[in-house]
Amino acid sequence: MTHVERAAEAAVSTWMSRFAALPDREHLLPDPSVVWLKAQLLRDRAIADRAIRPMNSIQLASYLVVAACWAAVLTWKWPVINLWMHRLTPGRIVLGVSADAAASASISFAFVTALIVLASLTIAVALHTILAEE
Amino acid sequence: MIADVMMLPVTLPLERTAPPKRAPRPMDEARFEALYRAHASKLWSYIYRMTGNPATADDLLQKTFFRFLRANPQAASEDHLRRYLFRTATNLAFDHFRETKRERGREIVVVDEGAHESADLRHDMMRTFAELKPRERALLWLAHVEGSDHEEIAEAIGIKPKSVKVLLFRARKRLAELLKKKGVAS
Repeated sequence: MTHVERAAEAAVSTWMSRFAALPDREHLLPDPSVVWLKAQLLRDRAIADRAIRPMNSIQLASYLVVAACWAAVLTWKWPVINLWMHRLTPGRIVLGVSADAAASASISFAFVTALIVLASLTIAVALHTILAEE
Repeated sequence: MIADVMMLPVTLPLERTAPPKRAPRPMDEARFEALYRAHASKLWSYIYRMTGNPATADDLLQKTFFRFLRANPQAASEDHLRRYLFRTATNLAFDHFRETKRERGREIVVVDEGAHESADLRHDMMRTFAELKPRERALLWLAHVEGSDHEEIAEAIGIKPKSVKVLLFRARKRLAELLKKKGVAS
């Protein structure tokens, strides 16, 4: 190490000592009991988050299952539903005439049952979401 | 921002070789308070000199202790705990710099509460220190103020112990150049 390097190091050491000795504006540190309390609150929240994580996953899965079921049912009978809806004019509704006899016949008991079950599931999932949030 | 800091207890790296005997008991408030009173002031000074912002220093100090309590380090000596705290504070400060992506020196906020002469001196020194890179600041503070050895500095900054000597030399050189430029040192 050269003389110049030693002098530079000494200057840095001196400067750092002076820098460290500067008063920290009479800084008041956060109270340890406050830090402790905040840490406990954060810990409790983390525990709660961990506990509800599976429930959130199940909830998300249930949304996806219900949506997939709706898509499947509607795809299954889409031609008939489409035809039925196109022929369902206001005049026919007022007169109480069926949209199309063939189309109505295609809407089977199984389809209606599937609709009812899916509608119930959708309502149940929606209610669960609302109640869980509350 | 601080929701992500609470997780399962972990073991200090220095204790990794020892097999766990039983589930760690959480630290009680009295011990935490004693530890806090012993180290918080030095940690705050370190973070404040690193960031140049007292509010950021307050925030990062609290986060350091939150992480410390989350990690729940067991049966460690005071020196191990001190090292752990400085390493956590350093990581948080570096994360802070990455998040804010501010230019060096931009974040300097010096609160002048003392006499004018003292406040000016502090302001000048803070500005000079802020011109260094965050890692250089950490290196210099830990080496010159905390008196940490190379191994301890390496652990705090997350570098190899062999690199500390070179990096510290460069940091000193850089600070010496800055001081020379400002006419503080010849």
